[in-house]
Amino acid sequence: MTDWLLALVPTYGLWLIAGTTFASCLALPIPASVIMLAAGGFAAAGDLVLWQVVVSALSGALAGDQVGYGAGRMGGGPFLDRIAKAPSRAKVVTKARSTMEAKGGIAVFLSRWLFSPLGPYVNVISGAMRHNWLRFTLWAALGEVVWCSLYVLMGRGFAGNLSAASDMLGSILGLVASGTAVLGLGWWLLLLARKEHAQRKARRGLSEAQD
Amino acid sequence: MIGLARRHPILVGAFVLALALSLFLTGRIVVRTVYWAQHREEPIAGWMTIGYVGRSWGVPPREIDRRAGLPPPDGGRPLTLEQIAEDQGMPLAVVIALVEVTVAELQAERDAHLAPRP
Repeated sequence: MTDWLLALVPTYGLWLIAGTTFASCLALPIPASVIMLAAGGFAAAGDLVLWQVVVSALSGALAGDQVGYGAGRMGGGPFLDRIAKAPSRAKVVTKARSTMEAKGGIAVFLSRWLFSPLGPYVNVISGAMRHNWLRFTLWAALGEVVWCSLYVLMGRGFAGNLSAASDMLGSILGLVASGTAVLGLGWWLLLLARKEHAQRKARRGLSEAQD
Repeated sequence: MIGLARRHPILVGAFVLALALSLFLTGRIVVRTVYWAQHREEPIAGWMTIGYVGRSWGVPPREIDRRAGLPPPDGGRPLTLEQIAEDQGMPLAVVIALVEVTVAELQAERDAHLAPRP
């Protein structure tokens, strides 16, 4: 199916690109990343215009995010309100909502490009949680800019070698994710080690004082 | 570190796993960069345009059209090899073979031109 879609890129160009990024934001199984890489390659070959490719990919993605958010808000919002009516569950829902308000932005941003398979679900959840629309839209737009330009420019850079572009990009994004995990976990372990060291020192001090 | 691992086995395990994955991916990126630098050219397929093939194989695309006797882009609208095959009433495999031969010829000429003269 990918080859068949790729053959449509030079013919239907910008509409097809916008359509695939739109569909992929709704969790439809469309290889939007491969299409964007190929479109970057076609732009390098002079068959498409680079900025138009980026703009159409971006418009499709932004529209798809809004549809997901809207669906979550209309469908999931009232459902969550009903759940929250029971006092036992109200606390959980309130806590989830405040976590979403505090940390939702970064989750929306990263689920556009670094953990892109999660994107469609984050959209629906954000809507259902009634995450502030403006904040959602800004973070989503920022993330989509990274996603679209990363793939289109990578496709342009590796022009004429689609397998190389997708292979390299996969490894690079994987490294960004695992590197972030190394730093985060390393920092956490360092803090723990320091805390335990301080506690041991305090205990030793206490026992010496008792002697 | 050992004491820490004994007290927080899951945390340390996750850290080691992420570290191993990062090292693996770094190595992979280095190896693949070297590999792709030597395999720039992508096998010619039906979804490609002549422009794309020219870019991938480092030869001027309009020269491919001319030599292979294929129609140039129709009013700015790029044609894929599949569309060219359909328009010309030829099987796709024949068009691909034709383009491959032409590209090889052009590359040979380019290399001969670049090579130092005796």
